[in-house]
Amino acid sequence: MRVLIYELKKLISYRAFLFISLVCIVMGALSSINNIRTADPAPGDYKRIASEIANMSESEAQEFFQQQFDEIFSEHPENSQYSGVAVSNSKTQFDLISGYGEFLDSIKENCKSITSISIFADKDSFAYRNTSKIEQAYENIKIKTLPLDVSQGVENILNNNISDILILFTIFAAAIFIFTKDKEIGIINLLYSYPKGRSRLCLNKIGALFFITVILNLLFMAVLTIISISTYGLGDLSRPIQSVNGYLECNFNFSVGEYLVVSLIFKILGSFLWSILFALICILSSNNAQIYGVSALISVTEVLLYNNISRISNFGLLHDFNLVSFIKPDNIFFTYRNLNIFGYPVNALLIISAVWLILTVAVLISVNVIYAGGKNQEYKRIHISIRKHSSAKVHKRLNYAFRKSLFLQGSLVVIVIWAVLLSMYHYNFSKPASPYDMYYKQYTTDYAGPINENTFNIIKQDEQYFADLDSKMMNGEFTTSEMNNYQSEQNRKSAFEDFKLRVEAIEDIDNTEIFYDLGYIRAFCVNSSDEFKEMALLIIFICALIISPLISYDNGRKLTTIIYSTTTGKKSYIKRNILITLIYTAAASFAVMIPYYINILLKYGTQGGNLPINSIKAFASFPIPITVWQFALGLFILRTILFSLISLIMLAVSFKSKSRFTAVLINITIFVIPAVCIWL
Amino acid sequence: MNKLEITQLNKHYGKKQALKNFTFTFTDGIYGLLGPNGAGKSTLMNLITGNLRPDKDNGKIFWNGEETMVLGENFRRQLGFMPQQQNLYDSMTAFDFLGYVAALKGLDKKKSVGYIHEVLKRVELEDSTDKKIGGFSGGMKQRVLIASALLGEPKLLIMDEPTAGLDPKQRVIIKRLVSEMSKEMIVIISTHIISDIENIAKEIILMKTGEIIGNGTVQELVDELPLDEKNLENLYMHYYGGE
Repeated sequence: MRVLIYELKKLISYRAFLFISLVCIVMGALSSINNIRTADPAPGDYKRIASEIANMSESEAQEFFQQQFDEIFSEHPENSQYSGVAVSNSKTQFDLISGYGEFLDSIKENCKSITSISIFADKDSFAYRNTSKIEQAYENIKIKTLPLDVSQGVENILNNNISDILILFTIFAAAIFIFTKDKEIGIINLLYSYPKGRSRLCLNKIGALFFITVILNLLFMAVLTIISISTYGLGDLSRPIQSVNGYLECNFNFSVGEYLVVSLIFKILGSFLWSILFALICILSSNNAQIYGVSALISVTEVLLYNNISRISNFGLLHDFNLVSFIKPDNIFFTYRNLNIFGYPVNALLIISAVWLILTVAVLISVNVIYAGGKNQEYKRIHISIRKHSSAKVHKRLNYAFRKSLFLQGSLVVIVIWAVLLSMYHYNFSKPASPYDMYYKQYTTDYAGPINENTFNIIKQDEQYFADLDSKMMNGEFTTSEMNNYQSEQNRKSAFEDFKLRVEAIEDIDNTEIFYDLGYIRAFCVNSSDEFKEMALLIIFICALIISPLISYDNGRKLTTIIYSTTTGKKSYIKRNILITLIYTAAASFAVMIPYYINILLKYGTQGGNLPINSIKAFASFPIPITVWQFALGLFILRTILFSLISLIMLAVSFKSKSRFTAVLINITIFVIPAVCIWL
Repeated sequence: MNKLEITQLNKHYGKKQALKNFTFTFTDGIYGLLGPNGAGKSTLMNLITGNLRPDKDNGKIFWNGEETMVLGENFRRQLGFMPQQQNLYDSMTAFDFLGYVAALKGLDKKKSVGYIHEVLKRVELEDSTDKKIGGFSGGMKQRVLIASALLGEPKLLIMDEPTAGLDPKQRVIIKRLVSEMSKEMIVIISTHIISDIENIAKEIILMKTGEIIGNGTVQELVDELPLDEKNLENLYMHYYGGE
């Protein structure tokens, strides 16, 4: 116990750890607030609606909702009492919980009908056994009716992916501090010589990690709870969990309050498995770069498997027996389900818990055995001795500066991991298939080229066509099929309107032409800057990681005093680092933006690239006479200059910092976190 | 009387053999390990402390007749180890650091406070008890390390370059301290500073490329020198001067 307290004291004494924890908690809070703000203009409305209909009968409640909808869709929606989103969501929720009794009956009926169908009626089959178990599971539910209460507040606490990621990141940082700092400062040999410096110390370190995991989960949940209470409210915590969105099929007799506690316990246990896995990686790795690389690889793989494999597919076990699944209690509790284990239905809760237990015990034993065995220490020595025999060549100063950055500061590993993430980002590029896009492409391709009489004739013709359609609609002259057709023609109308506006905007400008320009509109962020925000985040993130250590690494080792005293001196040293900064930034900018442009051209086509930028409506009044290609190039250069300026500020931070850790943290705080918040 | 017996100890790092058939028996008193870098001194110390394992089926270490690997924690309870100059936890105070070491040594919580104050006094750090190690000079950090090795009254004290970074006055204090304690324990000191062990060592072990190339009392070794001026420095130059 004494050692555990010392381990915790040590951890808390690292300012960097406290900083990371604080920043992650703040980020979690900001993202939650932002999610609520964007999802609901008036989150307090849910509480008011719920209390309004609390004592109403079902028909009265339905009437109340109809009344609210009438107000919202009236000529003066500003007079309505509640926001449309809140009324609509509450109504959906009300319809679901009103039908809860029918839902329970339907399960029984389904089970009966399935067991009576001949192919499932074999009593030894998985389907038969499974159906019988499902029926039994729902028979245990004591509640028959559900009250309508605010669901969103509880959902905000339970389903917060960003908070989950931030908790894991903070736990990862804790594992690094607890398990690698001793190695990093070289004290592990000394600790290892003490009677309780091996297995016992390891167990205490794991204890400290568990304690921190509990505290972090509690802190994050407390923050989310405070935000939920102050926005949506949590409603009556003693009501059944089934009354919360998404938990209708839950077969446990939990109240909302009880479920929150159960969920927290599951999250703690799940994240503890993550924490000891990170600890194992820390023990097995001989340097920090390996720790970051292996941890990122495992985490990304697990997230991809969890997100891309459905629990009902043939590979569903990869979804359920997944590290992500262990921190998502909803995956177990949202419905009753069994997994097929050699033909026998075994409850998901039981088997996922068993797998968690086996994995936890296995990882705990591995951590303890490897730590106490101390094999990693020997590995480190061999590793160093191999390095000592590396080439004896003398290189140019810039070459040394790059080698120092890539190998000594571990930037190479960071770049490799980033490159993997970046290729996934580019690989996932897609062109959304929308009817609007299809019609707009049709207009701009069919009437591509200079604007002429034909263009105006078509505009007149289609204008007349849509006017006729609208008047028919107003006069109620449509049959049902014509009505459906009218709905789909709205997309074409919208595309036509944009085509017409573009023609009107550019008709008087010399050399402009019509061409399909949605790709350029997307690339130049005319309608949405979301993709630019994503790309900016990718560039800023990598720059923060690789530029921050450039000078701070030398500052930390007091090498700058030696470097400044050399013939080439301080100026040359700083110039070299500025050059490296600019090269890194340009390379990152190139790696992020050029494949993006290429993807755009591949998906949307290269038409119109040599025509004036004024051919695109949004740039009709652009004052400089350049082509679309030139504009794209100019934009790329301008963005790269902007990122270079940011990178130079990062370098200035590095220059002022005495440790690379501090420099990275400051740059992340100044640039990456705001970028994340803007992106979210 | 304590006895540390090493028989046929071998250690390889990859293809490089760091220790070759090392065989020696230590009893109470101070032993000086002399040799240039790469002679195998630190490897030997790490093998004794159990930080490294010898090559498979290649040598054993016995403490008072029992194998140290089998004794495990019970052996390490008798051990005080002071590695070569190294970093400590900068954000901890000297007292906290020694408290942590006391916990890892399994010392009684209540008695630990007294032990810590006592060792801090011995290394003349009693005024810096509650100061953070981050603000200590190299010599002060070295004394904290010595204090940590002395905690728990070990029977086997292994010190790697204990006086590196200390000023002459501190060297004398540490030398006296070690000399006083050596009556009832085995002290193995690895050093480059010959004067540190010249007058206190019971026996000197000369090592080169993982092997013992000579051992004996200071007098015996210098007497064998084929030189007019017979002292330990000339002995060192005689064996390692060409390196």
